[in-house]
Amino acid sequence: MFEALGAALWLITDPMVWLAIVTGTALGIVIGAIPGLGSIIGITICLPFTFVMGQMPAIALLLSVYCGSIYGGSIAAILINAPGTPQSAATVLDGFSMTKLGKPGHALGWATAASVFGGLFSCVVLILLAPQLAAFALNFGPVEVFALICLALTCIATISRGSMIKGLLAGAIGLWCGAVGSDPISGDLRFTFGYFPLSAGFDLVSMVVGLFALSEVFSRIAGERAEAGAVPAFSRMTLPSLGEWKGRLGVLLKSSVIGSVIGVLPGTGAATAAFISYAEAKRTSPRGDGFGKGEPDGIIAAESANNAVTGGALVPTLALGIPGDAVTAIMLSTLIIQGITPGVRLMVENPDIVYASFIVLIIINIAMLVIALATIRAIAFALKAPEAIIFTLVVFFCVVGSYGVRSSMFDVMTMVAAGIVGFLFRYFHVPIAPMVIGLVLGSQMELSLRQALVITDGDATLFLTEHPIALVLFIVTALLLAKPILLGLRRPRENTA
Amino acid sequence: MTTHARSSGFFLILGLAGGLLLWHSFDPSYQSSAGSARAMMFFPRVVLALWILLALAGALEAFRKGMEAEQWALGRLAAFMAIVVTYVALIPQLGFLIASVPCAFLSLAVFGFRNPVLLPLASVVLPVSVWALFTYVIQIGLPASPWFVTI
Repeated sequence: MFEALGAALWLITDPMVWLAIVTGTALGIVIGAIPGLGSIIGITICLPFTFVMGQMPAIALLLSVYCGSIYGGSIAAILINAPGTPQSAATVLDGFSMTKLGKPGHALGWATAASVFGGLFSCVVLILLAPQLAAFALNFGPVEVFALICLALTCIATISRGSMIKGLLAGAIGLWCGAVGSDPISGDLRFTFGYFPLSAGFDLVSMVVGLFALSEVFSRIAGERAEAGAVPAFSRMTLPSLGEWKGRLGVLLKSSVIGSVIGVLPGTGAATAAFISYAEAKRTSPRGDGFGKGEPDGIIAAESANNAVTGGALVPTLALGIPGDAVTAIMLSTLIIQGITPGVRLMVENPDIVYASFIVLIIINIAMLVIALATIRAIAFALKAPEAIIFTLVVFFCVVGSYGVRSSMFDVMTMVAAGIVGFLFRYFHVPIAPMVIGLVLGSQMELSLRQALVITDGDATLFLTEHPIALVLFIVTALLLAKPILLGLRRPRENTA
Repeated sequence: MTTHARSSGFFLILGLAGGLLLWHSFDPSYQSSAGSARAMMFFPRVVLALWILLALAGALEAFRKGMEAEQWALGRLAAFMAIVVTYVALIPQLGFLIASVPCAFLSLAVFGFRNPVLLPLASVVLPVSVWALFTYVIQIGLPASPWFVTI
């Protein structure tokens, strides 16, 4: 471990890592603050920059944009009553109320302090939990890996917005997209229809950029556009004094725990964490009556929880190589471009990268405080940028991002097609994240299944009888799948009672 | 068309697409000497069968529950999609920069940015900024036109 830690420290001495942290955090805060952009678009438009970077600067850039954007969402929520990201929707309730009371600088101070604490708390959770989980994952063979991927896909499909059927369907489409191209075992071509560019399969980055970023632009042009309010004038951000924290530390700690735990669960996300934490704080806080009227406890609960999700979400990503949401799926796809194979052996084969990511995450959360204090007024100014310019730029970044990986126009066309599919999914309320996760995990799932069938000589019943870990994972998967059916059966009985 | 029918139709089309792909997976060119469970089409067939079943279930669910009717400006969306598709088709012929200028002009106009002075200015400044950033700072070669070396 100490050897890996030493190597990790050496990795972060690269000045490019520090440059990536500073620019990524600042960019993330701005992107998060602009309503309609958010973490996923922030990361996708930064992807082209990672192509020319080394492994660690690329990871540092994406982590910085991720953390910065989640915090940045609170700025728009507090100043203009429009959460920059869905994760900050709960912050509006008390943040904007404080602005209306004439205290926008102080509301931003509470949000910043709570965000930094939540982020740092989740780093501790990540550092403590990820190595334990990764050590346990060493017991995993192909059967267990297959069972784990089944569980991850089911979990994400179950919890994603929309029905479970739609989530699973999106996951299945993603798995098929991952199967296009060469067979991972024999190398023979599949589903190419004689079209040569398809022999390398669909490019992951192009798919992700199209499904998330371009489809968001399509949705914005087709849907109603949010009317942002005027940005209130304020001189500076004022952090809360030590005295003001008195009686509020319990809310801060409890919300950080809630955020970290929810972050570990695949598919839940920061928005869920913020609302659960807000509701819990309102229920238990002695100042619960003031919630929604500018009570700092409300800001603390929402902001510490949503930022605590960042570290939690990285636990399954770094320990098991299983992405918990779309953002971590994009991060894993970047690792693949950088020559790192995600999976249960990620931490064993690349401990220096994983430990360096831990350290970088801590630095980002501290940098967030400094950058926010220095640039908050400039960020408030960025909120006035016209939507037309922002989304036209996003289209250009989508084109460059998809072209840059392999210098292929076919990838750009794939991106546009994925954008149209992504829009149709949004229109018909099909969640997009399971499709991306299916795409990321598809080849790994197929490989592990076929290896497992070779090991068991084609007898799939041995998956259950000779692999207890896989059995547990399959049982949990089956329970998750059966849950809506069981709930459906219970409801009529309750109604007749 | 009602939202119920539109939504069910979408899932039925998805199911049909899955069915066609499943049918294609039985193409004789994919026949392998390996056992069925280890053949290269084993996994895709399982996934496609699941895809079809879920699409049919989705269609049934959509027919029963329907879909919340939302106000979408589909005309404006179609115009914007046409701009993006034409833009991407023109990049190999005109190069990234030259193709991007009219795309920026039309995109900004469709988004409602119609200031007579700022619109042409932004239509040039935005693509040139992105092109210069990636060509000279990030040094990613973008598609060039047949008439110039880098542009």
